[in-house]
Amino acid sequence: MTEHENIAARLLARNVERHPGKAAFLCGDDTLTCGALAADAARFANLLRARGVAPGDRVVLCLPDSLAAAKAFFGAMLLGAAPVPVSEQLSAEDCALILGDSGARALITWEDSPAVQAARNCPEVACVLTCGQHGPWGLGDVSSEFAPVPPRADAPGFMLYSSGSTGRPKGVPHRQEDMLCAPLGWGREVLGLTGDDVLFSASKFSFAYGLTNSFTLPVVFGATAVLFSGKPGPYELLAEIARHRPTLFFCVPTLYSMLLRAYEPGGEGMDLSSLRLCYSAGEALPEALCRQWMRVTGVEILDGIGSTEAINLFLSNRPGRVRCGTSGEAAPGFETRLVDDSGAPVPDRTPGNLQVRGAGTCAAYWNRPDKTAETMLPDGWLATGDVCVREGGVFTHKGRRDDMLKVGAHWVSPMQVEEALRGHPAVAECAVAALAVEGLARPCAHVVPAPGFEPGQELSAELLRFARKVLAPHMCPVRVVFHAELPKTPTGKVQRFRLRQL
Amino acid sequence: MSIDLEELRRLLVAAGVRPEVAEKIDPAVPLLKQGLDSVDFPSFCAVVEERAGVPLDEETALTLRTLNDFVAYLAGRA
Repeated sequence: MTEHENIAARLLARNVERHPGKAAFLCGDDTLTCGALAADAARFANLLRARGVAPGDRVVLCLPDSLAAAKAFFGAMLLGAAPVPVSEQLSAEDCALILGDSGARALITWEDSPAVQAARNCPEVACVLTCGQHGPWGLGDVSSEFAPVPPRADAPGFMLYSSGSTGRPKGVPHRQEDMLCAPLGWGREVLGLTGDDVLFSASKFSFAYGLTNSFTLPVVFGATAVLFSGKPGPYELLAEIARHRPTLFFCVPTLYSMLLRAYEPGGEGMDLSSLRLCYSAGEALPEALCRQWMRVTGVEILDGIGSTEAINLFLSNRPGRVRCGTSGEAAPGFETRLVDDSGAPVPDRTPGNLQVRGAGTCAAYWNRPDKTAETMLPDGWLATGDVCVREGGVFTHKGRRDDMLKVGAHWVSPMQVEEALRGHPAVAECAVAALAVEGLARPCAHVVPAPGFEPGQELSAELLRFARKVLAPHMCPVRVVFHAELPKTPTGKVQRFRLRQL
Repeated sequence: MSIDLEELRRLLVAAGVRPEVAEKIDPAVPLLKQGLDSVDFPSFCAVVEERAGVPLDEETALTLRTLNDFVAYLAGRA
């Protein structure tokens, strides 16, 4: 591999050479073959170039998991531009923030998306393409001849956004070749992937975990991926599994717990017999959920931890030796260390800050030197922000070093939830901290009621319903606890860690 | 511990489920099929735990699908 080889071009061409008629992606009733993927990705590249997008430019993809999204992602890469997948659920305001922060040249989204409006207010966005399931109108008329452009060394190969503690998301740029690290280590050695596998990820491609599972792994191994455009509810996921018969299923603990409650062995349209392995990431998989999943479904479930910065799993359980309640051992290609707050190593059985080092990790956040200095340490070490305990090489997750919560695999900033709750007249003061429900961290609102408001079940229910109206589901508190006052430092800063109930 | 259906309906409301939804819940049909989602379910479990005064057994709680399941489970813990 030369340093400036276009990775997308290599992977797409290899699959066309080996099996052009094989399904690369399945989505609803539609199939996209390896041959059609390569041709349509090339058409996308031509279209983007014709619309003024140049190598090194950022191309924001605000799309559901769909055939159009796969074509657009690899098409932008062929051009040497950086695809930037974002959640299709983003509000116009959040989308505008990312379009502006990334300095995007192009936006690819679905018809009627609020992102279209957002792009109108961003003068740098020269090109807006709206797509249906298969891509923008007229894509088939564009030439599928395209000479791949070597990626520029000084520009990202692709970029994801990760939520920050103040709510301002951070761009996490990666080189094109970074996307090969997870398949070659974790994918091959842990998952044992081959071209015969059919992969299905409930996590969407705007997350590092979803991007790897749905786009990278299948293309690297010449396997097939199932893309699901809808909202991943438990019954919808079960129906997709019964329909497309994947061999591997990737999901997050919150959804696994809902799937267990929905799954009735032998029930109509409930057939998990195609699965050889389930994977869980995004937040720690509780021991009880891990055990119960394997007991009820008979399918092994592996828990691991990764991050957008690593674009990989850095801790993982291994097939045949799952230790429920743990995150497993260092993943292939990763070194790990646990340190105290001064940076000194901690011994086994002592909680420490997890730092990891491996190929393919992000070198610096996009235009955020302050955050880069905190996270990207000297000699290639990455501060994950996770607190873990190690015993005999096996790691157990013990929470976060900061106040951030991981809920349903989404980052939740307590500050954003608190700000929203303060919009209710009954809330004088409030702090949000994690509460464990069935082993999973959920936001709990600790509230000092305003004068004239009676703390109790009625007010609590009212606040929970209020939150549902103003916040995304994963940010909604599941419980309200009333206090006369909140624990604070002498300088008046709320001590959220003292309110955690994990 | 005995918590009857009507009380569980009240706890659904306390968990933030709209009263008109809680009222119509069929106790024999999975809650997830009747509009409860990934926020309502843990909220409901949290208020049930608070009312019962003890944590729900994690592994068993994962198999509780319907209001009838909750009634039977809570009665069995008496």
